[in-house]
Amino acid sequence: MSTSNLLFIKRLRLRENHIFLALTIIIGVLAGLAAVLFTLAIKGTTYLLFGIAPSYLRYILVPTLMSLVTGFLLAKFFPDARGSGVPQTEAAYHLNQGNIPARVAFGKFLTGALCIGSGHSMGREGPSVQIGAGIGSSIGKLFHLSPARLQSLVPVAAAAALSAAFNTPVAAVIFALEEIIGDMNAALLGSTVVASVAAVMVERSILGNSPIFHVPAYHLVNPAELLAYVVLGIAGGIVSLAFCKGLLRARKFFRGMPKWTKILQPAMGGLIIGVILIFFPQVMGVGYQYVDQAMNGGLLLKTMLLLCLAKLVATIVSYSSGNAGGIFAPSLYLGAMAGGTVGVLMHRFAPFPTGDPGGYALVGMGTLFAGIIRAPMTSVFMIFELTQDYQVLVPLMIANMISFLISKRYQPVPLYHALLEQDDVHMPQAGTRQVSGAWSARDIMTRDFSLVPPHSSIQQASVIAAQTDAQSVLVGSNGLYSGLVTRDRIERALHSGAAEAPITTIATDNCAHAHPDQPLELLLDRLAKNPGLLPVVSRSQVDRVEGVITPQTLVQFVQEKMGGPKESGE
Amino acid sequence: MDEGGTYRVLNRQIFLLIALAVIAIGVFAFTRRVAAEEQQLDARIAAIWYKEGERQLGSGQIEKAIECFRKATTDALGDRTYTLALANALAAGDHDAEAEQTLLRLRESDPEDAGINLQLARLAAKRGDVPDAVRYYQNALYGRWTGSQVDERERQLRIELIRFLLGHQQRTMALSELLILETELPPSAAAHVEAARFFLEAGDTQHALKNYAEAVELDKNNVDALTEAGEAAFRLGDYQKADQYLKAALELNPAAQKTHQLLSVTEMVLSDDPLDQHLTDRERQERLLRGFEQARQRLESCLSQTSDGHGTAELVGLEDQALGLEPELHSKRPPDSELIRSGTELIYAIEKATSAACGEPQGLDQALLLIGQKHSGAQQ
Repeated sequence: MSTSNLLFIKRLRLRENHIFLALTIIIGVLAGLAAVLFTLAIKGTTYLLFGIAPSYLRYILVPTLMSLVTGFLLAKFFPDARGSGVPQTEAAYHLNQGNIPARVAFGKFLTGALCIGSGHSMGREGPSVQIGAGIGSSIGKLFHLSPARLQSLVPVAAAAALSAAFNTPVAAVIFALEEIIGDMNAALLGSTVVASVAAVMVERSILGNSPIFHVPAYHLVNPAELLAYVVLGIAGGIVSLAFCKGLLRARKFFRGMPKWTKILQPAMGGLIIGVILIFFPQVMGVGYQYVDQAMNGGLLLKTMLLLCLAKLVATIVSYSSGNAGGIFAPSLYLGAMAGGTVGVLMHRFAPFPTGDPGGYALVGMGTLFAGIIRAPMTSVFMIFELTQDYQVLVPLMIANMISFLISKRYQPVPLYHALLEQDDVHMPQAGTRQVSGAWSARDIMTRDFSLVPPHSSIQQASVIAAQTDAQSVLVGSNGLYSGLVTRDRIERALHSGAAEAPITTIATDNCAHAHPDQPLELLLDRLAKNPGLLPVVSRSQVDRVEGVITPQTLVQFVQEKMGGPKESGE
Repeated sequence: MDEGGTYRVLNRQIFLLIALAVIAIGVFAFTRRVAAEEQQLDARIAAIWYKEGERQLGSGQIEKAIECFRKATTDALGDRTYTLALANALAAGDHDAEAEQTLLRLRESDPEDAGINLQLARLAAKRGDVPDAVRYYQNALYGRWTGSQVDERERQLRIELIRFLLGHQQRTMALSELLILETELPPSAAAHVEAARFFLEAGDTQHALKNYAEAVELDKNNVDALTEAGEAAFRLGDYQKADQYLKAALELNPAAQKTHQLLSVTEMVLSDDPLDQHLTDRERQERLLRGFEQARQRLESCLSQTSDGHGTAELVGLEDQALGLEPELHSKRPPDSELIRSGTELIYAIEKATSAACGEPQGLDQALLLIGQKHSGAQQ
């Protein structure tokens, strides 16, 4: 390569970097503006629909009727805009190379504002993350960025949107790294910080410097008080677990209802929310003013306990019935109420002096966030950023750790991932994520496989099975598999005279599978569980078979690679 | 792609960046406008809630007022008037913890605001936290005051602080504040009487009398000032002044029984002191004998009451001394100064002992005790 060519490439790269930096700032600004507009839209919708002092009838009618509208919009036009937005953003980053259609961002904005503004007990941060990420992704596509660069814009824009929505720029960066990317050492730290700062500057220049919460001065009055935070951690873990389990079960229940009800499910949730609002109007929408009251000693013990329960039920109903809105704010709300409750009880009954219950409400927010969202670092930074007080760190870390461990012990899959799994999307876990440069299922699998149609007889299946070397065959059609059957089982069925019985009678739908990005070590483990055939399926649609791995394909692959491990980019 | 093609792509990207920047500016302006309109709407709604809160507060519905002020502060974040109204309502509704947090937030942005410090002081006073209350009261006193009648409000605040300090037995601190208050008093008899009463409560009768005297100067017909000035002078042992004030008070309010009694004792102190200057020997002897006879009667009466009681031995000893001195006192020659001194001392000793054994003396006995106290104090 000539010197002039090298110089050209060098200048080109430099210019690309400059453009990417400028793009990062602009995306930060636009994502921040979108988050601010979203906040304003929610507020405006609430005023418009509820007025200043709503009647009981309004409490019932507004969420019910508005959810009919949003139910229709979500079912017909924006199916990807349901729920929080954080898991969808994670899925887009990990499984879809950062591709989020602009339609999704628009749909999320519209339905999110209507759902939260009509009283559903949901948060604005999750939707803001998805809206911001959608904007980032759309702009990236407009610039024809490489897939890697496009992917990198998703956490950058998500951090910016969260920064503007929650007014904590540092916590937003940590959230993007911890939750969206899933790697605290990610190389995107610089871009995320730039976008986050740009967004928060925009937010503050529009909405002013008023903090979201009036955080009371924190005091740890006695070292023994740390024991009280252990109690808070346990309580936080239990409430987190109740929320996660309750939400997943309720969502499973709604998903199990007949398909034609899907369009009506948000309205069903809306009706229940309306009834709850009559008794507990405090659980309406985001509800940060009540979090503020709990932190500042403005709520009685009984009120905080009841609001904790009411918010838990209301958020589960709002989310599981398929409305658009997040669980970030509800987890903070629950934390403040649970923390405040523990704080008051400790203040009354602990055998040692304790600080104000408001401090417990503050730490409780982080505790529930760590237990529900499972982002303990974000939680610590968020509360620290709110208080700007080092004193809070040790109690916060103690309570967070306990809550996190309890939640993880009894709900091993994090809530966001569990929600995606209910949608047949399997997110890569930290332990199974592909290591750069290592061999993965994508490299090893063969795309040469056959599916036995589900309506086939066992006799017909035996013919198809005979054409392959594998010990098992997959049952399914159109690239979607529904089960697996071993050749031994087919043989036995034939000998027992069941040749004309449908193949589905002997197929099992409970078999191990792998995803294209998973590493060789994991594949060997999974293959050992399956009888001679491991389907490799899409993460975003777990019944879509992308290839299969058999012992033979493995041996063949290793023989081909005898020269040494795969090189990057090969 | 060749070099020219690559540059074309880059130039397109730069064009897109500029276009996006323009769009961002447009969206920013739009969002700002929407936010401003929403803030105006918020402000209008907040004003409605504030008025409603005031109305509820006026009708004694504190909890409802709190809810209204709370909504007002939610709709108009950071509005000091609404937040202060909320804090005051919270304090009135005994939601002290939240009231304090609300006030502390307000104080953060304006630590010198007298009104906020005053409310914090009252909350601290309510929970009996003397150091915090004093700190906030003083912050309020030396803080920034707004509105009219600042001097009068400051004075009232200092009075509130003094009352708090006296209520918590902080007499020294109260006296410091009283001395400042004294310099700020308006030319009003009532104000001086009030200050004098505080001085009395703080144990500084001298300053109390001074303020009573000033009150009398300002209003010669102020019965309270005259009566209490008389009492203060009496307490200080200045019986001449006490006599003047009490007589003046009785002229204005002849029915005051207590003042009559006090004046009577005062007059006896003035008329029965054998050590008084400018007396003839005869007058001095008569006073001494009158006092001696009265003291002996009191002693005998007391001895008959407390035959086996506490202090009987002391009383008997005093009776022996009295019996020993009696002949000398009754001799026809005028008593010398030594006899007068020892006689007066014996009278005082008898009145003191009988007072301890048989209760507070009345009438001439009380006067004799006071005469004795006066001279024993002078000697000391």
